[in-house]
Amino acid sequence: MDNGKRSVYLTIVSDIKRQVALGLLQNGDKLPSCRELALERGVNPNTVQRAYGELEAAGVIYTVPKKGVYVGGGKVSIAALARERLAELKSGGLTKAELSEIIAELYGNDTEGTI
Amino acid sequence: MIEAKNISKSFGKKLVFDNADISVADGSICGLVGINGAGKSTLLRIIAGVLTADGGTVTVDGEPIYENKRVKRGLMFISDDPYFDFDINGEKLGKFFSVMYDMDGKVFGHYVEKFSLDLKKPLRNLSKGLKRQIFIAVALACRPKILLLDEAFDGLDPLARLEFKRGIIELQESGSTVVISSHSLRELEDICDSFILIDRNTVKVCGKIEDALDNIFKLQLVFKDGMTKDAFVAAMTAGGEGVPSGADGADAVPFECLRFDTLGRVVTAVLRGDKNTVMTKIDGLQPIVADEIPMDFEDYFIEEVRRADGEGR
Repeated sequence: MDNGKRSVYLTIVSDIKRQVALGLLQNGDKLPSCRELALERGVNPNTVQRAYGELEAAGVIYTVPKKGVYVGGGKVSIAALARERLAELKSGGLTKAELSEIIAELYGNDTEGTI
Repeated sequence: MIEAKNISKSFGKKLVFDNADISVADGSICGLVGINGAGKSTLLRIIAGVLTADGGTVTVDGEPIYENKRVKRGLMFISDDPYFDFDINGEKLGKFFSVMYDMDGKVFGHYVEKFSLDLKKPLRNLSKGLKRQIFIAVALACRPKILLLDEAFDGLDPLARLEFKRGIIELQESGSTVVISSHSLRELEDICDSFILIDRNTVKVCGKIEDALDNIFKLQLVFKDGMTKDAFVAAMTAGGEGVPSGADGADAVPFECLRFDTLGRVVTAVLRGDKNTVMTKIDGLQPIVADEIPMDFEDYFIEEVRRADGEGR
């Protein structure tokens, strides 16, 4: 998927999911408010609101009225993230053989499957 | 609220608008889109009260705009190629506009600094982008209730665009309404909440970007024995009155097949309708592959305009 062409809405959703999955954002961390994020990126606050709405529905973040938006729920795992990415790449034409090759390259050839 | 009803406008024999209606809510950032020559600038000029429509009414908060000084004080229009006096520089331009508008000198100074503008240089010696930046600084400093921008991002560098977009959002937060025409649909999608699509001498769509994108989707399908458009549409519209619709009848979106391209066995289809209903029906056809490809505002625009063209464009 061409990242430059994706809508800001999708970018915000996937960025935050990724940062949570990788542990860059942890439970209880405060996120910028809709307004702050909108001004920072030069996008409509509604767009950010929509992205936050989706993240909240997915259990990645939660809102405390009048206080702010926080990371919580911890339902995003690296595995789920990998799955999502792979599904995208698969529809982009990545074959199983190619993927196996990449896995072999990254993890080495031992069947234990650790780095 | 900006409202136009039954607008018609011709220049000589050339018809621009026939029965066009628009409505832009207060506090909205509205994108004005259409192909070259569709009539975007003409519509902005009519809203600004620079031109009068041949027929129909244009009102701002219920009041007609044409030759209405009081309403016009709260409205600002930055045209595609703004006019300025031969010897004028940024400083004089600021003074000139502060006569007509309630300009905030501090805000002007803020943007002059942000854009690193030289106010002493005559405007005619500045590049297109720098001229535009000066006009933007003036427009944002005037804090108009309604700001109309023609080809807003044209010629601006990426930093200036970001700064400008931030300014537009701050202006909107203070309650202003902004209408922006641009071909940079990517950018409009990010900053706008609503849009107006001009096509074939009329306003084809006027509504929320979110709603427009929610009911249209692109799919990549592969069927075991291949599929033709006619067979597909027939299968999709089979049963009942022939149109799959949403669960709650009121919001039902009629099914429409906007595009059906086949490449070997792979079908790329652009469909409109209630997504769940359509996907259930497609599942019933037992495709080998049924993947959704994300659609953005630019894709939407192309589909809408192309469809009206038949297969021509």
